[in-house]
Amino acid sequence: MSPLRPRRTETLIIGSGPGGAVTGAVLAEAGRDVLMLEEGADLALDAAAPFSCDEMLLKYRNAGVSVALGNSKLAWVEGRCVGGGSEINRGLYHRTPEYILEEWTRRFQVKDLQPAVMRPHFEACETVARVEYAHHRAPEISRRLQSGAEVHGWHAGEAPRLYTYSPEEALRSSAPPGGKQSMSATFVPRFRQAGGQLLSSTRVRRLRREGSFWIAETEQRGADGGCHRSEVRADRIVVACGAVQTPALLRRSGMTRNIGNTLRFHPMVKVVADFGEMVNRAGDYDPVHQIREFEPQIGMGCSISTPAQLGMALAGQKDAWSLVREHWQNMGLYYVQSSGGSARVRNVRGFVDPMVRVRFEEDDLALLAVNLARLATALFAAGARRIYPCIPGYPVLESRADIASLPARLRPADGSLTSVHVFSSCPMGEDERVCAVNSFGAMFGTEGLYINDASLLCTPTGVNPQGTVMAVARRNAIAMLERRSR
Amino acid sequence: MVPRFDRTVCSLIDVLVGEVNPEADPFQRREVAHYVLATVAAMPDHFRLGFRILGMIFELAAIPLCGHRFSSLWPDDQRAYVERWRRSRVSVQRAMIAFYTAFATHGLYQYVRTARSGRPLAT
Repeated sequence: MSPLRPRRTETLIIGSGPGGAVTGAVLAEAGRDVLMLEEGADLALDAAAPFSCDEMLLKYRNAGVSVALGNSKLAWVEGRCVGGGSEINRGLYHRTPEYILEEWTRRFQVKDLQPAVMRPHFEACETVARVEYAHHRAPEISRRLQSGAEVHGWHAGEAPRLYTYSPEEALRSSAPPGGKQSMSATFVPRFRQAGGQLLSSTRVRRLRREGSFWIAETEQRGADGGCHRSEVRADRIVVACGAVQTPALLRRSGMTRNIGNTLRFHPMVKVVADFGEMVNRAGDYDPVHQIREFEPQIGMGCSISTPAQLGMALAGQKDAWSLVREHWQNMGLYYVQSSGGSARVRNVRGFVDPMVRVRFEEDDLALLAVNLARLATALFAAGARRIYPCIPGYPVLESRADIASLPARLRPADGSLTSVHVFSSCPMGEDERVCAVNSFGAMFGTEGLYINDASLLCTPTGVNPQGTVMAVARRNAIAMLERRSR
Repeated sequence: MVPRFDRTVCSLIDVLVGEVNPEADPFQRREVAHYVLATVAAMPDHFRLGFRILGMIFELAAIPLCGHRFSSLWPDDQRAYVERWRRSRVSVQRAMIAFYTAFATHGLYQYVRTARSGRPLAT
C-alpha cells in the first residue's frame, strides 16, 4: 500500500450520485475550488446492458447484494460508480408531494421547504436533467396496469422519467432511441466543465478535524490493482455517499448523534402476471405507469420485465425456465411498495462494510399483504390469466376468486421484501432531538461539515426520491454559497 | 489449483443450473459459476465471511451423510444433498440455497442466451 501525495481543496464532495453531482455542479459553476471523490469506477453509461449481470458487477454496490437483517429481511440495491444510483435506476421522476414537504416542516422543523421555495430548484434540475413522458411509447405491460386501475376507478397514471425520448430516431430504428439522463450524462459533465475535479475509485476511510481544516483519509485503487493511501485537506466537506454509506462514514469518524438510526425504505413485494398474449417485447421502453390511489401509504407499479428479471422473480416456481422461455412475452413484473420498516446503520469492528438492522411492525407486513391482493385484483381486471406472487410458498392465482387464498399478512420469514430506494438515515431540520443536521445539511456541533444526499430526507417520500434529492441538494448548495446555513 | 470454496460453489451452481435448464452446456455452466463467484467476492465482507463458513459446512457436512465431501459426490447424490438443504428446517440452509438459486438463474438467462444467439434473449 503506497502513499499518494496529499491534496488540498476548498470543498471536498464525497460521492457523485444525485446529491453529490448536483452539489458539485452548483459550487463549481459558482467558481469554487471543488474536488469530488467517488468510490466506484468512472464508467460510460452504456458500459454494460441495463439490469444485466455485467452491470450488477460493474456498477452496483456489492454486486447488488445488500441485505438488512432483523425481524424480517430486506434486500436493496445501490449504485457504486460515477453517477451513483442514477446510473442503475429507471429514472422515474417525481417532485416531492406537497404534503410531504409540509410534514417535514411541521415534524422536523425544516426551514424554507415550502412548495414555492422548492419549485425553482425542481425546475432548475429538470432543465439540466431532462424529464419527459413516454406517452404512446409506454410498453403494453405498463399500460395494462393503468387499464386495470381504471376498471376499479383508481387514480393511476404515467410517471415521467429522467430520459430523452427521440421521435425522429424512433421512426428510423426499432431499438429504443434517446438517452437516460443520469448524473454521468448531465450534472457530472457540467461539474467538470466548470473546473471541478473528479477522482474515481477512491474511498474515504474516515474524516478528522485538524485545526480549521477537515482531513479525509482516502484509499485509491490504482490501475495496477494496488491500493494507495492519501489525504485530502479541505475547508469544507460535503458527505453525499448515499443513505447507508454516509452514516457509516460519519460513525467511523466518531460522529454518531442521530446518525444512522432512522434509515427508511420503500419495501416492496412483487408478482408476475401472465396475460396469455403478447404484452412484453424485446426493446420496449421501460415501464412507467403507477397506481397512485393509495398514496402516500402504498404505491404500485410495473418493474423491468426482462426474461432475467422474470426468471429471478419466478425462481421458486416449478419449471420456471420453460415457463419464462416460452411465455416471457406474455408476462410483466409488478410491485406493491409501502413506506414501513425502519433500520439502523452500524459499523462492526474488523469489517469494512456496514451492517444494517431492520425492524418491521406487524402492521407493515399486513399493509403489504392487503395491497398485494389489490394489485392482483387490478391485474386480473387488466386481463391477466394467471398471477404468480414472488413469495415462497404462495399459491399461483388462477382467477380473481383465488385472491382470497392469500395470507392476511406477510410472514417475517418470507424473505421477499426488496427496495430500490433508501433514505432518511440522517434527517435534516432544526429539531436537534431527532435531526442530525440543520435545515440546510450542516452538521450540528461542527463547522464546515455537511450532508447533502438521500440521508437528509426526513421520511419516505412515497414516490421515487431522486427528484427530491436533487432539488434539496441544489437548495442546500446555494445556501452554502450564500452562507445561510450556519 | 481451484480453491476449495470455489470448487464447492461451482459444484453447487452446476446442480442448480442443471435443475433449471438441463440443456445448459459445460461452458455456459462455467460462465454462470464465474458470475456467481464474482458476486460472492463483491458482497459485503461480513456476509462473505458467513458465506464462506456456510460453504465449508455445506461441503463437509456431506461426509457423514453421503460418505464424501459435496464436491466429490456423484451428480445424483449432489442433487439429493442440495434438495435436503433446500427443505431443511434451518432457515440459514434454505436461505443459502435460495441465494445461489436466484443468482444462478439471473446468470443463466444472460449467459446461456448469449452463448446461443450472441445476445441475451432480451434486455
